[in-house]
Amino acid sequence: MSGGWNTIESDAGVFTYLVDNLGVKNVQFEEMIALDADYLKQQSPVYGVIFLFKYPVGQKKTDEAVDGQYDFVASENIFFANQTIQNACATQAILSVLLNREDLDLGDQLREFKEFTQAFPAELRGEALSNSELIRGVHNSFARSSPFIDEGTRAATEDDDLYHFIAYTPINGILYEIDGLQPSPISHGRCTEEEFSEKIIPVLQRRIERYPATEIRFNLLAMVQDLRIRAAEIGDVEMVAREDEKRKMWIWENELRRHNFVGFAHEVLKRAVASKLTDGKYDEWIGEAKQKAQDRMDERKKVRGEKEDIASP
Amino acid sequence: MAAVAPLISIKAGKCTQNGTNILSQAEPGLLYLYHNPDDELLHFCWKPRGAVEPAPEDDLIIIPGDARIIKYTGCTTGRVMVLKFSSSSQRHFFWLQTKAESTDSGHWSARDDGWVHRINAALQGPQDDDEEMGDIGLGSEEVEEEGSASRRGGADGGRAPVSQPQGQSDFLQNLISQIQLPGGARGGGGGYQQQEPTISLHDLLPSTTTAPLLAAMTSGAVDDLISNLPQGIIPRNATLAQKKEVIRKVLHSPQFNQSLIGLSVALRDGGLRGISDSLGVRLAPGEVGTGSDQVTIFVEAIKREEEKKADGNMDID
Repeated sequence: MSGGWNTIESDAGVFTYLVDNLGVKNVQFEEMIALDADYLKQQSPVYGVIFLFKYPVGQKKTDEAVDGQYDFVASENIFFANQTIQNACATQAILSVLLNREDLDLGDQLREFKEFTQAFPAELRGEALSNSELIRGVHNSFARSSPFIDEGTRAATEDDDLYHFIAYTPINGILYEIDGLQPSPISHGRCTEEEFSEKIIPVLQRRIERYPATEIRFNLLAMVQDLRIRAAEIGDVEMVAREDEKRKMWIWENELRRHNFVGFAHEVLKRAVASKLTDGKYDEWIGEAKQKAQDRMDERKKVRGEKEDIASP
Repeated sequence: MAAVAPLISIKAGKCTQNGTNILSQAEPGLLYLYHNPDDELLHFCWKPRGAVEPAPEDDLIIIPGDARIIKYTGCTTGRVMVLKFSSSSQRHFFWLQTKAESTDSGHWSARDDGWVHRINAALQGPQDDDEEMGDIGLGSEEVEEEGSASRRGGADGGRAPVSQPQGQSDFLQNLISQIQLPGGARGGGGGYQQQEPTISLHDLLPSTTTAPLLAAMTSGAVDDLISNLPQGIIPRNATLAQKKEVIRKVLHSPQFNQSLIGLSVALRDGGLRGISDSLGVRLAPGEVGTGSDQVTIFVEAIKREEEKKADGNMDID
């Protein structure tokens, strides 16, 4: 295994520019706020859904396919890779959708990667993915900039949630669940491209219901065609403008994500300190910060007593 | 073996484990650490206080940095703490027998915290600036005065105390969930907590502080800040107002606030020296490792520089 993979956020802006930087054209991601077929249809064409779920370390992970059927033949014919690196799983799920479609412009590098790994068995495809400099490099460029903390090699502790990404996509008329931790793709029955928005909903619902509501957090991202394309086709100028604004915001957020803020933080702090000293409010200012930290700690005590998940400060 | 003065010694009792229950033993005892000149190792020992023999009943060899004491403040019936190791799942429970400062028998006073802190410092083994060691009491007497400043720093690595346990098994459950945390950084998120509420940098920069600061800022200061931001987000030929707006948005962004949290964690996790050096923030000699909150030390160092500037009548932006 060459090099480390850092964790990236499960965010539509991150994923959209991740695939963009891999060379893919005209694909974006939309967060599915509701499990609603109509909502999904409005984003058509929908290429697939990435399902992220987080559960606390120590929870039993359901490893058996309790819904759907293992399709071992499929794992030869479609791009299915065993997951080798935890931190790579977001990108791996995304590729499971991208590399299984014939109707996308993947760009030269991903096309080459797809051809290169076509004949490989699933474990080797996973290895090829984790060894790909291109894919790893683009993936890591979206990791949060933390110059002191090597998140890539940190092992999961009691404090972490474990998280897992699964991709759902229709291939050759069948709705597949592609989970790198499973031995093969899982079939959920017949499904055309047009039916995908409908048929995926109950599948996702059943998946979510497997876990106690209080112990799981999940996130659904639909991979769709660049929404500006259809908006332009039907003459919806407002939609195009809205999507352009959204892109600007995503670009801005991604710039901040990869930026090392230590220098900026120092400059701001210096001036904040100077101003508090001038006003004679320095001690009060520090005291307020201590109080906030105390309040958070008290809140955590209370919340942990109620056995719920704790939000970050 | 010739008698050796311990590095630290306090009145403490032992606890035993019975399944999931922790039972404290009434016997008055002494917990102490010393450096054995024969094997040149750090020893963590317990013996009954009335014992005639010099040899301890329990004697653990400690690899510097491998062990730490974590206090459990959720227990109302005593001041319980546990010795845990990074290298193994061994755990040893003790309870403070030093004079309680409160009628609440589970309450940890600032002085009690100080003991935990000093034990943890001693568990790190010999340090470069060992000035702290000279202060520590010798013999089996508790030293009442340690000099005016009681050093409140949190015990290393502990999670914030959990709520009152319902019973012994809850007590253990909470204790275990607390002590299974390695003392390392959590990476950007808010998971790392110390026993005492120490400040996080993002608490120092709420909009009530930054808004007036930004409003009053001169263009020189604004340009300093701008030069520390990714140039891709700055509009070309930006006016002063536009630049201030960019700064304002960044200060409010989740990405910046996450990075402040991560920076606070990094400072507390041994990064104070490296980060200060790279920023040119001058720390007082011996300041690192005193056990005071590293974030506070960092901010105080910045404060000293700003005070000097003010005294020297240099321009403050």
